[in-house]
Amino acid sequence: MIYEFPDTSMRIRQGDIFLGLPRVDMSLNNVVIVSEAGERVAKWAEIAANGDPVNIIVPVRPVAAIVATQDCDAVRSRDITLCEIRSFRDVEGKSKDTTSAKSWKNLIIQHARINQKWFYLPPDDRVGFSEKMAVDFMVTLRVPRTELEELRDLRKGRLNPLAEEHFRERIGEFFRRYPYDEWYPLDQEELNAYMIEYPDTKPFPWQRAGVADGGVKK
Amino acid sequence: MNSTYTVDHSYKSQILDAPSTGFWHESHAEQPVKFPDLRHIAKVAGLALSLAVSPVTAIIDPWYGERRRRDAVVTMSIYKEVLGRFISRAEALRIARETLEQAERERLLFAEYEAARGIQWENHP
Repeated sequence: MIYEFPDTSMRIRQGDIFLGLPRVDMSLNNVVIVSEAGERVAKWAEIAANGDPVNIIVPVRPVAAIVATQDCDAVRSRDITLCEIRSFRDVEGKSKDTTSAKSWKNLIIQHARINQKWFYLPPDDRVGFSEKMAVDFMVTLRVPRTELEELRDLRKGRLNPLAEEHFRERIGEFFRRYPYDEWYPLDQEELNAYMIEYPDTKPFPWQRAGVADGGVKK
Repeated sequence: MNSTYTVDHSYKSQILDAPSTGFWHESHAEQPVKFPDLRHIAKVAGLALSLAVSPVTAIIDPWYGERRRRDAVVTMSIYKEVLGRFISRAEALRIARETLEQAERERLLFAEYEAARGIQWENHP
Protein backbone atom coordinates (compact mmCIF):
# COMPACT_ATOMS: atom_id res chain seq x y z
CA MET A 1 0.00 0.00 0.00
CA ILE A 2 1.34 3.39 0.98
CA TYR A 3 4.29 2.26 3.07
CA GLU A 4 8.03 1.81 2.70
CA PHE A 5 10.22 -0.30 4.93
CA PRO A 6 13.50 1.41 5.80
CA ASP A 7 16.21 -0.68 7.44
CA THR A 8 17.39 0.14 10.93
CA SER A 9 20.43 2.08 9.71
CA MET A 10 18.28 4.81 8.17
CA ARG A 11 17.68 7.93 10.24
CA ILE A 12 14.33 8.82 11.75
CA ARG A 13 12.08 10.90 9.53
CA GLN A 14 8.62 12.44 9.66
CA GLY A 15 6.12 9.73 8.73
CA ASP A 16 8.06 6.87 10.34
CA ILE A 17 5.73 4.40 12.04
CA PHE A 18 6.72 2.80 15.33
CA LEU A 19 4.94 0.11 17.27
CA GLY A 20 5.14 -0.05 21.07
CA LEU A 21 6.04 3.48 22.12
CA PRO A 22 4.92 4.76 25.53
CA ARG A 23 1.80 6.86 25.77
CA VAL A 24 1.50 8.50 29.18
CA ASP A 25 -1.87 9.47 30.61
CA MET A 26 -2.09 11.54 33.73
CA SER A 27 -4.83 13.05 35.82
CA LEU A 28 -4.60 16.54 37.27
CA ASN A 29 -7.03 15.65 40.04
CA ASN A 30 -5.31 12.48 41.24
CA VAL A 31 -1.55 12.75 41.09
CA VAL A 32 0.19 9.88 42.87
CA ILE A 33 3.40 11.21 44.41
CA VAL A 34 6.12 8.74 45.41
CA SER A 35 8.78 9.45 47.99
CA GLU A 36 10.78 7.72 50.67
CA ALA A 37 7.82 8.28 53.00
CA GLY A 38 5.42 6.38 50.75
CA GLU A 39 2.75 7.10 48.18
CA ARG A 40 0.47 10.09 48.45
CA VAL A 41 -2.32 11.37 46.26
CA ALA A 42 -2.66 15.09 45.63
CA LYS A 43 -4.10 17.54 43.17
CA TRP A 44 -1.78 19.01 40.58
CA ALA A 45 -2.69 22.52 41.80
CA GLU A 46 -0.95 21.73 45.11
CA ILE A 47 2.19 20.57 43.34
CA ALA A 48 2.14 23.60 41.09
CA ALA A 49 1.76 25.91 44.10
CA ASN A 50 4.66 24.17 45.80
CA GLY A 51 6.78 24.77 42.74
CA ASP A 52 9.22 21.93 43.29
CA PRO A 53 9.62 18.88 41.05
CA VAL A 54 8.13 15.66 42.38
CA ASN A 55 8.21 12.02 41.35
CA ILE A 56 4.84 10.60 40.41
CA ILE A 57 3.31 7.34 39.24
CA VAL A 58 1.69 7.56 35.82
CA PRO A 59 0.10 4.82 33.72
CA VAL A 60 1.84 4.06 30.45
CA ARG A 61 0.58 1.98 27.55
CA PRO A 62 2.64 0.87 24.54
CA VAL A 63 0.95 2.23 21.42
CA ALA A 64 1.59 2.63 17.71
CA ALA A 65 2.72 6.11 16.72
CA ILE A 66 3.95 8.10 13.74
CA VAL A 67 6.72 10.71 13.81
CA ALA A 68 5.32 14.22 13.61
CA THR A 69 8.60 16.06 14.10
CA GLN A 70 9.93 17.52 10.87
CA ASP A 71 13.03 15.96 9.34
CA CYS A 72 15.41 18.79 10.19
CA ASP A 73 14.44 18.68 13.87
CA ALA A 74 14.41 14.88 13.90
CA VAL A 75 18.16 14.99 13.20
CA ARG A 76 19.23 17.16 16.11
CA SER A 77 16.48 18.05 18.56
CA ARG A 78 16.44 16.60 22.05
CA ASP A 79 12.98 15.11 21.67
CA ILE A 80 10.89 13.54 18.94
CA THR A 81 7.16 14.16 18.91
CA LEU A 82 4.83 11.48 17.59
CA CYS A 83 1.07 11.18 17.16
CA GLU A 84 -0.75 8.09 18.30
CA ILE A 85 -2.14 5.64 15.74
CA ARG A 86 -5.35 3.86 16.67
CA SER A 87 -8.09 1.92 15.01
CA PHE A 88 -9.88 4.09 12.47
CA ARG A 89 -13.20 3.19 14.06
CA ASP A 90 -12.00 4.56 17.42
CA VAL A 91 -10.64 7.80 15.99
CA GLU A 92 -13.46 8.57 13.55
CA GLY A 93 -16.74 7.84 15.26
CA LYS A 94 -18.63 8.19 11.98
CA SER A 95 -17.12 4.89 10.82
CA LYS A 96 -18.49 2.90 13.74
CA ASP A 97 -21.12 1.16 11.63
CA THR A 98 -19.54 1.59 8.21
CA THR A 99 -19.40 -1.57 6.10
CA SER A 100 -19.90 -0.82 2.41
CA ALA A 101 -16.99 0.14 0.16
CA LYS A 102 -18.87 3.24 -1.00
CA SER A 103 -19.34 4.49 2.54
CA TRP A 104 -15.70 3.79 3.38
CA LYS A 105 -14.66 5.65 0.27
CA ASN A 106 -16.65 8.72 1.30
CA LEU A 107 -15.13 8.68 4.75
CA ILE A 108 -11.54 8.04 3.71
CA ILE A 109 -11.18 10.63 0.96
CA GLN A 110 -12.68 13.45 3.02
CA HIS A 111 -9.43 14.02 4.87
CA ALA A 112 -7.90 15.40 1.70
CA ARG A 113 -10.81 17.81 1.28
CA ILE A 114 -11.50 19.14 4.75
CA ASN A 115 -9.39 19.75 7.81
CA GLN A 116 -9.71 16.61 9.90
CA LYS A 117 -8.32 15.59 13.25
CA TRP A 118 -6.99 12.37 11.79
CA PHE A 119 -4.97 10.91 8.92
CA TYR A 120 -6.03 7.63 7.37
CA LEU A 121 -3.65 4.65 7.29
CA PRO A 122 -4.77 1.59 5.28
CA PRO A 123 -4.20 -1.92 6.65
CA ASP A 124 -0.95 -3.67 5.79
CA ASP A 125 0.33 -6.75 7.59
CA ARG A 126 3.95 -5.83 6.94
CA VAL A 127 3.59 -2.66 9.00
CA GLY A 128 1.48 -4.46 11.60
CA PHE A 129 -1.92 -3.00 10.74
CA SER A 130 -4.53 -5.69 10.29
CA GLU A 131 -7.38 -3.18 10.03
CA LYS A 132 -7.97 0.40 8.92
CA MET A 133 -6.05 2.77 11.19
CA ALA A 134 -5.82 6.50 11.73
CA VAL A 135 -3.30 8.96 13.11
CA ASP A 136 -4.99 10.89 15.91
CA PHE A 137 -3.50 14.39 15.77
CA MET A 138 -5.02 15.12 19.18
CA VAL A 139 -2.83 12.60 21.02
CA THR A 140 0.88 13.30 21.02
CA LEU A 141 3.82 11.46 22.55
CA ARG A 142 7.29 12.82 23.26
CA VAL A 143 10.38 10.63 23.54
CA PRO A 144 14.12 11.31 23.67
CA ARG A 145 15.57 11.32 20.15
CA THR A 146 18.81 9.47 20.80
CA GLU A 147 17.03 6.75 22.75
CA LEU A 148 14.43 6.36 20.02
CA GLU A 149 17.27 6.00 17.53
CA GLU A 150 18.49 3.04 19.58
CA LEU A 151 15.02 1.51 19.28
CA ARG A 152 14.78 1.70 15.49
CA ASP A 153 13.87 -1.96 15.38
CA LEU A 154 10.46 -0.83 16.68
CA ARG A 155 10.05 1.12 13.45
CA LYS A 156 7.82 -1.03 11.28
CA GLY A 157 7.46 1.23 8.28
CA ARG A 158 7.40 4.68 6.80
CA LEU A 159 4.92 6.58 4.65
CA ASN A 160 5.91 6.54 1.00
CA PRO A 161 6.73 9.91 -0.61
CA LEU A 162 3.18 10.58 -1.85
CA ALA A 163 1.54 9.66 1.46
CA GLU A 164 4.19 11.64 3.33
CA GLU A 165 3.34 14.74 1.28
CA HIS A 166 -0.31 14.40 2.28
CA PHE A 167 0.59 13.69 5.91
CA ARG A 168 2.87 16.72 6.08
CA GLU A 169 0.12 18.98 4.79
CA ARG A 170 -2.60 17.48 6.96
CA ILE A 171 -0.68 17.74 10.20
CA GLY A 172 0.41 21.27 9.30
CA GLU A 173 -3.19 22.23 8.60
CA PHE A 174 -4.39 20.66 11.83
CA PHE A 175 -2.02 22.68 13.99
CA ARG A 176 -2.73 25.93 12.22
CA ARG A 177 -6.51 25.68 12.56
CA TYR A 178 -8.24 28.78 13.82
CA PRO A 179 -11.42 28.84 15.89
CA TYR A 180 -14.41 29.97 13.96
CA ASP A 181 -18.17 30.10 14.31
CA GLU A 182 -19.31 28.77 11.02
CA TRP A 183 -22.83 30.15 11.31
CA TYR A 184 -21.75 33.79 11.41
CA PRO A 185 -22.73 34.64 7.77
CA LEU A 186 -26.11 32.86 7.78
CA ASP A 187 -29.24 34.93 7.36
CA GLN A 188 -32.23 34.49 9.66
CA GLU A 189 -33.80 31.73 7.64
CA GLU A 190 -30.55 29.82 7.18
CA LEU A 191 -29.72 30.25 10.86
CA ASN A 192 -33.07 28.79 11.87
CA ALA A 193 -32.33 25.74 9.76
CA TYR A 194 -28.85 25.51 11.28
CA MET A 195 -30.19 25.71 14.82
CA ILE A 196 -32.44 22.73 14.26
CA GLU A 197 -29.24 20.69 13.99
CA TYR A 198 -27.23 22.69 16.54
CA PRO A 199 -29.68 24.09 19.09
CA ASP A 200 -26.92 25.47 21.36
CA THR A 201 -25.89 28.02 18.72
CA LYS A 202 -25.80 31.62 19.91
CA PRO A 203 -26.72 34.05 17.11
CA PHE A 204 -24.46 37.04 16.49
CA PRO A 205 -25.92 40.53 17.04
CA TRP A 206 -26.57 40.97 13.32
CA GLN A 207 -28.49 37.69 13.24
CA ARG A 208 -31.09 38.65 15.81
CA ALA A 209 -34.58 39.54 14.68
CA GLY A 210 -35.04 43.22 13.85
CA VAL A 211 -31.33 43.89 13.41
CA ALA A 212 -30.09 45.21 10.09
CA ASP A 213 -26.65 44.69 8.58
CA GLY A 214 -23.80 45.95 10.75
CA GLY A 215 -25.66 45.29 13.98
CA VAL A 216 -27.68 48.51 13.85
CA LYS A 217 -31.32 48.15 14.84
CA LYS A 218 -33.84 49.09 12.25
CA MET B 1 11.13 16.11 46.79
CA ASN B 2 13.83 16.68 44.30
CA SER B 3 17.22 15.56 45.55
CA THR B 4 19.34 16.34 42.54
CA TYR B 5 22.61 18.09 43.14
CA THR B 6 24.87 19.67 40.61
CA VAL B 7 28.53 18.99 41.21
CA ASP B 8 31.16 20.41 38.95
CA HIS B 9 33.83 17.74 38.84
CA SER B 10 35.94 19.44 36.26
CA TYR B 11 36.37 22.78 37.93
CA LYS B 12 39.88 24.13 37.66
CA SER B 13 40.57 27.74 38.39
CA GLN B 14 41.91 29.51 35.34
CA ILE B 15 42.77 32.64 37.29
CA LEU B 16 46.35 33.03 38.40
CA ASP B 17 46.97 33.91 42.01
CA ALA B 18 47.20 37.63 42.58
CA PRO B 19 50.71 38.81 43.33
CA SER B 20 51.00 39.02 47.05
CA THR B 21 52.41 42.00 48.86
CA GLY B 22 53.68 40.01 51.74
CA PHE B 23 53.71 36.69 53.40
CA TRP B 24 50.30 35.02 53.69
CA HIS B 25 49.93 32.17 56.06
CA GLU B 26 47.32 29.89 54.43
CA SER B 27 47.93 26.64 56.18
CA HIS B 28 45.30 25.36 58.57
CA ALA B 29 47.68 24.19 61.25
CA GLU B 30 46.03 24.26 64.63
CA GLN B 31 46.97 26.98 67.02
CA PRO B 32 48.50 25.82 70.29
CA VAL B 33 45.93 25.39 73.04
CA LYS B 34 46.17 28.07 75.65
CA PHE B 35 45.14 27.74 79.24
CA PRO B 36 41.90 29.80 79.71
CA ASP B 37 42.49 33.23 81.16
CA LEU B 38 40.15 33.68 84.16
CA ARG B 39 40.14 37.46 83.83
CA HIS B 40 39.03 37.21 80.21
CA ILE B 41 36.24 34.78 81.12
CA ALA B 42 34.95 37.11 83.83
CA LYS B 43 34.96 40.02 81.37
CA VAL B 44 32.91 38.12 78.81
CA ALA B 45 30.46 36.87 81.44
CA GLY B 46 29.94 40.41 82.66
CA LEU B 47 29.27 41.69 79.20
CA ALA B 48 26.77 38.91 78.54
CA LEU B 49 24.97 39.61 81.80
CA SER B 50 24.72 43.33 81.07
CA LEU B 51 23.24 42.62 77.65
CA ALA B 52 20.74 40.16 79.08
CA VAL B 53 19.30 42.60 81.62
CA SER B 54 19.43 45.71 79.44
CA PRO B 55 16.07 47.42 78.76
CA VAL B 56 14.21 46.57 75.59
CA THR B 57 14.85 49.13 72.89
CA ALA B 58 11.95 51.15 71.53
CA ILE B 59 13.01 50.40 67.96
CA ILE B 60 12.31 46.97 66.47
CA ASP B 61 15.45 45.38 65.24
CA PRO B 62 14.97 45.08 61.46
CA TRP B 63 17.15 41.99 61.40
CA TYR B 64 14.83 40.30 63.88
CA GLY B 65 11.80 40.88 61.65
CA GLU B 66 13.66 39.73 58.57
CA ARG B 67 14.79 36.55 60.32
CA ARG B 68 11.23 35.76 61.40
CA ARG B 69 10.01 36.28 57.84
CA ARG B 70 12.67 33.96 56.50
CA ASP B 71 11.87 31.37 59.14
CA ALA B 72 8.21 31.51 58.09
CA VAL B 73 9.16 30.92 54.47
CA VAL B 74 11.29 27.96 55.39
CA THR B 75 8.55 26.55 57.59
CA MET B 76 5.99 26.97 54.83
CA SER B 77 8.30 25.27 52.34
CA ILE B 78 8.74 22.27 54.59
CA TYR B 79 5.00 22.17 55.22
CA LYS B 80 4.26 22.24 51.51
CA GLU B 81 6.56 19.31 50.89
CA VAL B 82 4.04 17.04 52.56
CA LEU B 83 1.41 17.13 49.84
CA GLY B 84 -1.79 15.15 49.66
CA ARG B 85 -2.89 12.19 51.73
CA PHE B 86 -0.94 9.01 52.17
CA ILE B 87 -2.26 5.97 50.33
CA SER B 88 -1.24 2.35 49.99
CA ARG B 89 0.76 1.05 47.04
CA ALA B 90 -2.30 -0.91 45.92
CA GLU B 91 -4.44 2.22 45.89
CA ALA B 92 -1.74 4.09 43.97
CA LEU B 93 -1.74 1.43 41.29
CA ARG B 94 -5.53 1.42 41.18
CA ILE B 95 -5.59 5.19 40.65
CA ALA B 96 -3.02 4.87 37.85
CA ARG B 97 -5.04 2.14 36.12
CA GLU B 98 -8.27 4.13 36.43
CA THR B 99 -6.55 7.21 35.00
CA LEU B 100 -5.52 5.22 31.95
CA GLU B 101 -8.94 3.66 31.46
CA GLN B 102 -10.73 6.98 31.93
CA ALA B 103 -8.49 8.68 29.37
CA GLU B 104 -9.22 6.02 26.78
CA ARG B 105 -12.94 6.06 27.54
CA GLU B 106 -13.10 9.83 27.20
CA ARG B 107 -11.28 9.76 23.86
CA LEU B 108 -13.94 7.44 22.51
CA LEU B 109 -16.70 9.67 23.86
CA PHE B 110 -15.08 12.67 22.18
CA ALA B 111 -14.88 10.80 18.88
CA GLU B 112 -18.58 9.95 19.12
CA TYR B 113 -19.46 13.56 19.96
CA GLU B 114 -17.49 14.78 16.97
CA ALA B 115 -19.06 12.13 14.75
CA ALA B 116 -22.52 13.39 15.60
CA ARG B 117 -21.60 16.86 14.35
CA GLY B 118 -21.00 18.18 10.89
CA ILE B 119 -21.44 16.53 7.53
CA GLN B 120 -22.44 12.89 7.58
CA TRP B 121 -20.05 11.82 4.86
CA GLU B 122 -21.18 8.23 4.95
CA ASN B 123 -24.46 9.29 3.37
CA HIS B 124 -22.84 11.72 0.98
CA PRO B 125 -23.26 10.77 -2.68
